[in-house]
Amino acid sequence: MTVENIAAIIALLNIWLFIKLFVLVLLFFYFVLSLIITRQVDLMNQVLGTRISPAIQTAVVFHAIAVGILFFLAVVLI
Amino acid sequence: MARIKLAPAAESESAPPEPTASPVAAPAEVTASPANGVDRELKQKSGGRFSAFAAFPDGVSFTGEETGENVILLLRQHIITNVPWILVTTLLLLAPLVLFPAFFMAGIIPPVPAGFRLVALLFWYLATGTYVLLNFLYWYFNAYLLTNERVVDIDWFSIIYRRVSSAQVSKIQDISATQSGVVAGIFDFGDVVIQTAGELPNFDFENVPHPQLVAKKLNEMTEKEEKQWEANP
Repeated sequence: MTVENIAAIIALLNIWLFIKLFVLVLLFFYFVLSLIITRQVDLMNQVLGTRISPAIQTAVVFHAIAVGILFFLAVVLI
Repeated sequence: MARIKLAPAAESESAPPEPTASPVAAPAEVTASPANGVDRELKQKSGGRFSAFAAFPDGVSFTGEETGENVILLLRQHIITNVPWILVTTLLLLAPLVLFPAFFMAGIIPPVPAGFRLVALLFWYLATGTYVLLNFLYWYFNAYLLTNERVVDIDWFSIIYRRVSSAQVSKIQDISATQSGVVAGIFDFGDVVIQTAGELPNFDFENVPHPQLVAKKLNEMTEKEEKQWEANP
């Protein structure tokens, strides 16, 4: 294996590491956004409460959980 | 553009019971009582839980609600106004099935590990879900309320900024209902502009269903309020 090949492998690894970090940071902020949405929907329901308010709140909580699971999947799979 | 302007409360006492060009005539048996007629018409046009037009809805509460205050109308923008983002959602859902395989086959997207592809696919669909959720929330919580005491306008400009304005029915000076465009005419939606006295903000109920009917109900309420005030100043 030549020096050029090793350098190429290291460069490739670095690129993937950079991509992985970028994706994880992106997903982390996405998870934070989903938590903000959850909090805001709680406020929205206080401003205007209807019979389906609990269902909306539940849907938003499930959404945040799904984003959290995706984040951990990304940590494991990428 | 069809613009129907209702007379202010003080000027409309000598006017016939239905001064607007309402597409639905009140049934003969209820014309004796205009209040019942309008209310019945409102109930006829009222929809379900996800409706943009709910008359006398159950289980609705809002911030600043006072004791004995009842919601007469809960309005949102007409459901047809959601079509643009629903179309975008359809495209977003179809994209991974159609576009991505085509891009891979054409070599536009380089081959990536299976795990990365799975995460990317899940992210795509979840982000589409978030897009749907935000648009739905924006539509659902941007509501206009008409209670037996006042009008309330709840605006969410973004997920973190809201404005709630209200004005007593007695402060309403002028009401106008506007319909513009073919689509608005077909689906019967438009704007109801409520001008209020003094420094209070004016209200613009945008793209609400049955704007003439809403204006008629508001006009009826202001008339009633004025009569009460004349009887007991």
